[in-house]
Amino acid sequence: MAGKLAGKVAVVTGAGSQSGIGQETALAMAAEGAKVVVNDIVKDPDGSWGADRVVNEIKTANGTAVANYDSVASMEGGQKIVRTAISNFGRIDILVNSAGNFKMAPTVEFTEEDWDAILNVHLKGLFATTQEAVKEMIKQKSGGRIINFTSVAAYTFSTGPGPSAAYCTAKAGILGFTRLLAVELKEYGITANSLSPIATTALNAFDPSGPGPEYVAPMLVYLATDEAKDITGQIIHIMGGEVCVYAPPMGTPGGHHYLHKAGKWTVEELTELMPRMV
Amino acid sequence: MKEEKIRMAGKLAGKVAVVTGAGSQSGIGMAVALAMAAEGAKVVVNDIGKDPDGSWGADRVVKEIKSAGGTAVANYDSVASMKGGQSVVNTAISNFGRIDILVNTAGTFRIVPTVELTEEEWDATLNVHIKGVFATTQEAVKHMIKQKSGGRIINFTSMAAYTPDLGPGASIAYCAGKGGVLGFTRQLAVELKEHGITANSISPGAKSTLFPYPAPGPEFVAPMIVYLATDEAKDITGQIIRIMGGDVIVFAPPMGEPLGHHYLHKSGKWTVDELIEIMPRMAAP
Repeated sequence: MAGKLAGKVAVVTGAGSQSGIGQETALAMAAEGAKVVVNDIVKDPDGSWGADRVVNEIKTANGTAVANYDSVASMEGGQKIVRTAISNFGRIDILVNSAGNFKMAPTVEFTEEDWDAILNVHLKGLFATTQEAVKEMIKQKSGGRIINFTSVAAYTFSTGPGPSAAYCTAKAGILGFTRLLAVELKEYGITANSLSPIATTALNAFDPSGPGPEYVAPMLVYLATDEAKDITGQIIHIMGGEVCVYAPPMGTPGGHHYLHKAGKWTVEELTELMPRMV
Repeated sequence: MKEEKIRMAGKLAGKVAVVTGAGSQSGIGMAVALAMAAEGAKVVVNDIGKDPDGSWGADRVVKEIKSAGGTAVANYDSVASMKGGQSVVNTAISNFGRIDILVNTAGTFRIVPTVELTEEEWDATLNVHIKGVFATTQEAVKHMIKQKSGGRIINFTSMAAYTPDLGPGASIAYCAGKGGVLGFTRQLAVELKEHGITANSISPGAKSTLFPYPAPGPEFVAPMIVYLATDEAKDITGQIIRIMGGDVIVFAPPMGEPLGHHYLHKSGKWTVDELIEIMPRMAAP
């Protein structure tokens, strides 16, 4: 009861899938004393809500949790998820946006419907829950934590089985979104970080032997603690025992090539120098 | 442009280019359309915007190209829907029979705090920057693959996508949109390599329609776009290229290199207590 998150209220989206990162996070936060809204639209094979199963598991361990089944993919859905925390527990301190979907298809074959489905969950869903949560956090005047999920698909070529351009777009959009959020919310003591996990999960079962989501959950709990109040705007990769905190992407002189000329470059000059720069 | 003769044997002779958002006065899109036409490309000048006198901006740019002896046609569709994006590309096919170069310049920008951003503005921003890029690109790529002669996709990102040092600020919608363009373009480059189609992101710094700040003008950006469209640039793909005035920066694959980050490994699960210990030292502000 005197856990690291005692007295705090957390919302975890996409937390009802069996062996998902969201579920693992909800369980870990509840174990540290947080009251948790467990959100998910998915059902278990027996037709019951996945979120109900996770809530039961938390309650059995003497934790506090409530289920919510709304989709984050609309403003209304995202707002309702956050309101579930307010109406049940009176506040919100932690928002973990782990809801996601995934589809592999070549760009020329990708349908508008699939494009919208991926972008609505990952980007609009993020906006919907985050805006509502931030409004409350600012009113509460006691800081807050926003933790969003990006992916190696957002920033590297070697993405294993090859995701769709829609998924890459969405996960890279989350980086830009979260980075600005961190800057904007600093004055309110609200942190915003992007987590880039690799784990064998509900969304990604390509490598069943890989490390599971239980490796990722401690990082989420940590980011939600008071101790992590100065960790913001970061991109944190975690896979098994690996932790990697990325420097502000591309802003450092380390990994890039730079040329200056006091005037306009000509196409001829660029033809000469560009192949050596990339 | 006026003093510059259209070069029939220009660097882009025989090529067909589509430039979205190319009708705004003193915008980067316009500078690109003029520069490509000057190098011999046939250009579709797309823009939904009108000049103060009520006439289409795209018409003005087409006229300027034609009076210099170049070839261009105007299109006024919005890229913010699949249909609009497809129609922009198909203007190239119906007028010039093909498409070799797609430059996605169209964009919108406003500074709004997150708590005040409306759903309408979020949608409008994401539709132009992300769905619009998907719509035009998908249609263009279908044709480029059929044509079997490669192709060039050039998308516009922004510092807002990757640095907190935004200067005048932005909205989370703009940052999400411009960040999304990076992920989109990078994946596209991988996917289209086998077809000889390159895809690059440009991160320009220029005094332009969207950003009327004191900075070098869009004419500094145009030569880079022309270069990327030439046959010489066939191996430049998946890059993020910053250009502002005489500055050129080619960014390494963001965050994929061990250079700029901090790394720790443990053969087992980290505990929250260990993370409380190590993380403040890893995440230098």
